[in-house]
Amino acid sequence: MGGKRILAPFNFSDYDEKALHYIIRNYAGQKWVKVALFHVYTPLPELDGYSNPGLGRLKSTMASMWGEVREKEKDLTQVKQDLIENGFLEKQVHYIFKEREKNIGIEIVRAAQTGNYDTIVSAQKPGSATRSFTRRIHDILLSELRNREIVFIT
Amino acid sequence: MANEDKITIDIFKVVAKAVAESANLPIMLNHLSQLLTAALEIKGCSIFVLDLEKERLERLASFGLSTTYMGKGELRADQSVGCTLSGEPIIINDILTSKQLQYPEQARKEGIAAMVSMPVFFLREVVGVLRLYHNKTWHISERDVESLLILGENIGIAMMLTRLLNTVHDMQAVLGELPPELARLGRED
Repeated sequence: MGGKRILAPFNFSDYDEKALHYIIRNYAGQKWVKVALFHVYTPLPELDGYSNPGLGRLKSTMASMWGEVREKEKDLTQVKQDLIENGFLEKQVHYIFKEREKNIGIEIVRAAQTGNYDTIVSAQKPGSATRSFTRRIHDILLSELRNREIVFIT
Repeated sequence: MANEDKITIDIFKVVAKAVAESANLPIMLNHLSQLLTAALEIKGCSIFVLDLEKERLERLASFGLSTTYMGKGELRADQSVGCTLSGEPIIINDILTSKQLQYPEQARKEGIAAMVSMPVFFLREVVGVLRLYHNKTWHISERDVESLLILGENIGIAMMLTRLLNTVHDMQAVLGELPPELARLGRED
């Protein structure tokens, strides 16, 4: 038996912290559980197609900004460490740090399917106005995923 | 000495293209935040939508700000650099001398020294806010303010187009779930 595989979307918000606490409360110390922290980042826009010398300064500033984007990966390793310090073994926790290509909900669905995760603990809660602009994550998860346990932290 | 124009026509073209060519609003707004942060050589940028019902601002995209700062609390539309909602750009050259911030202490801790808040329009109504944060006192040029106002209008159009498309998709999904006898009603056979 493979054991429980949990996918935890994490975007460093207070709600995401609550989701982590839920995972720790319910699964810490259980050696058959595996947890994957999942973070998608928006890559910086490509400027390679522009050859105009007037954009030199913009290009060099953008290049230096990659450091800030990659910094999030370090932050994610710290979150992984928090789980380890709270009752998980190193081999039970890993993270997925991925470039965003689609809606966040679709990215979570794809990760759940490709990684065979049977449980998703999601805590993202956009405000009511934001929902007009993005499909709600929980709508996407409920409509796209089958035979899985989906936990929403509110 | 005049303040330096940072948004040149070349940069404006890149930014306008990023707005016009993306089919995904959150990704487009994140790219816009990144491009403006780089072009203006500032600390960061956020784009908000206005929730008229609850009179608050909701963040749609951001770059360069810590999650601690972004999670500092609800942004009341009338208190958070509120005058932006009257349709005027608000320029705070030095936050230490301003009373227009809802969370001045958190801004100071974040390392923000100056802020520019631009309205995002759609059909002359304010639908959101484009906010730029600098880690030094900042005297933005008049031309950069004008460029940002034009960008604000483009962002407003993109936001409303996305809202419209999402509404159509939602309606389509609801119609798809109706029993066939109901779904047929209203169709011209």
